[in-house]
Amino acid sequence: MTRGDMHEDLVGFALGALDEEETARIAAVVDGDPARAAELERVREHRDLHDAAPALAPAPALWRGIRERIEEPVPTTARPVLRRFWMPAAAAALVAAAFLWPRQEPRPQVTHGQIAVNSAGTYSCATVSRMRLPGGVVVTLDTDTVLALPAPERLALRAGRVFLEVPPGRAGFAVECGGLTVTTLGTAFGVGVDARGVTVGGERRAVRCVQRAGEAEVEAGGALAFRDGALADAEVQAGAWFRTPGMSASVLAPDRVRIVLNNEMPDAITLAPPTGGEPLFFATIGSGHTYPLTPPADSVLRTGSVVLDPGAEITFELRLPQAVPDTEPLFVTCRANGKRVEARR
Amino acid sequence: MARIQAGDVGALEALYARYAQPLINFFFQMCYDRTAAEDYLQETFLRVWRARDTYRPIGKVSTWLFQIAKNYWFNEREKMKRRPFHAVAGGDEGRSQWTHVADRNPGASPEAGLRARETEAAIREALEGLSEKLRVVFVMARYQKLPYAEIAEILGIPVGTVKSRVSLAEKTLRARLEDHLGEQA
Repeated sequence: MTRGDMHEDLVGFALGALDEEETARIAAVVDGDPARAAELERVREHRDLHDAAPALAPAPALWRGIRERIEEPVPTTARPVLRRFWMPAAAAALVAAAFLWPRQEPRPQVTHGQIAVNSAGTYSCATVSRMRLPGGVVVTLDTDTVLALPAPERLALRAGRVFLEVPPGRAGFAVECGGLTVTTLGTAFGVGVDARGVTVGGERRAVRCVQRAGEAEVEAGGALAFRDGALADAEVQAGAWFRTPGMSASVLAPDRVRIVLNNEMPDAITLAPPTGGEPLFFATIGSGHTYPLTPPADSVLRTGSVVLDPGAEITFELRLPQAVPDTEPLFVTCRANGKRVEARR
Repeated sequence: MARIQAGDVGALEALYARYAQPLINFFFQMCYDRTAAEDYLQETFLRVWRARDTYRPIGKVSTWLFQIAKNYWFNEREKMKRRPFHAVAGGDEGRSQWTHVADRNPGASPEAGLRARETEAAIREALEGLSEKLRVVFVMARYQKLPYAEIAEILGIPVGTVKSRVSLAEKTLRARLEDHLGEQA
């Protein structure tokens, strides 16, 4: 046994990390060798020094936060299921409503029944809208999106962008787009297609992207771009292209920004210039339903804390430590889910 | 675990009560950021809940939990490296919420408290200087007191590799903490 091997065993012995047989063997070696015993003493002295390392005890609120997230109600339809013969009328009404919706609407209402399974045709919308598919999948459609629903578990995206929230137990729901099949392994993801190719962003848990050339997984918070049927080198910022359902931001003044969150559970918010560099502002928000904000000393927080109930909307304004030039947009990033929204004047 | 697989949230709470402490300290020793460690702990248990159907009773529950925690940790680290605007949580504010050794021993003299805090800071600095590969095995072996065989299973590497990495980490840390050795005695 080399000196290095012996040191490895002595460290394992001191830490109690060896199995019984090895422990007995090293104990015998140390007993009969004063030099090894001295080395073991030095290892133990160092081991004991680490008793001084800082440690944490989990706060009681942490479990409450976990439990609340586990017991979050599965979104349900606001209206009773329509009978089949009402569906064309409902679809027409929805299309009309979609055109009438103001573009600044932060979170369009969920409706359902606008598109029939196995429909030979397509559904298109001019404005941002949300709809619930048979089976409970909620789809948020970006402007000028065109899609079809060839099967209950399959959505075909022809143009535009969609963001999907898949209920638990519906993993396997897939979006087909530009030769790519994106299958959810979790609960929320986005897919967009334009002249350059397809973009896929994971929101909660992962999605699997399969194409002829192979497959790739997109983790929550990550994003991949596919160009000409192949994975593009350029990385896409997660959420950069989303219309960020549930989150919006607006700049009220050169040094003031308003952030609106709809039923989101962020734990931190960063404001950053689009060109990179240091964040302008960073706020930490506590877990659970009470959100005490901790702004830096040189900013003013209008709303000190808010209580966020499921489905509720919170709005707060932040005064930035420095004015943002009129020429620059401002990006607000929500740390908990990696969403990013651009605040424009 | 059978009760958790049957959808019993109370059983998950019991699992949380048993493993929250070692897991939050695993994350904390990896990043020294209380806020992030709390986030990671919550996410780990949410993943445990969501993945409860995939658990197979062929190994220790702690191994499965640490595998989930380790996977989540490395995934988050990779994501943070890729994000241009990533938020650096905690900072000094997070560190002020540590449980200091001096606080754990309120009867200690002011000088002893000061020395303990210096040692604490030196340990943190020394650990932060380790590579991620060495740090994770050392934290698991020294702080979580996990056997080498279990660490090997969690990380998916041979036991011999765990041994050599812990040994190298120990040598590196001991050299960096030389000034503080002997104070304990």
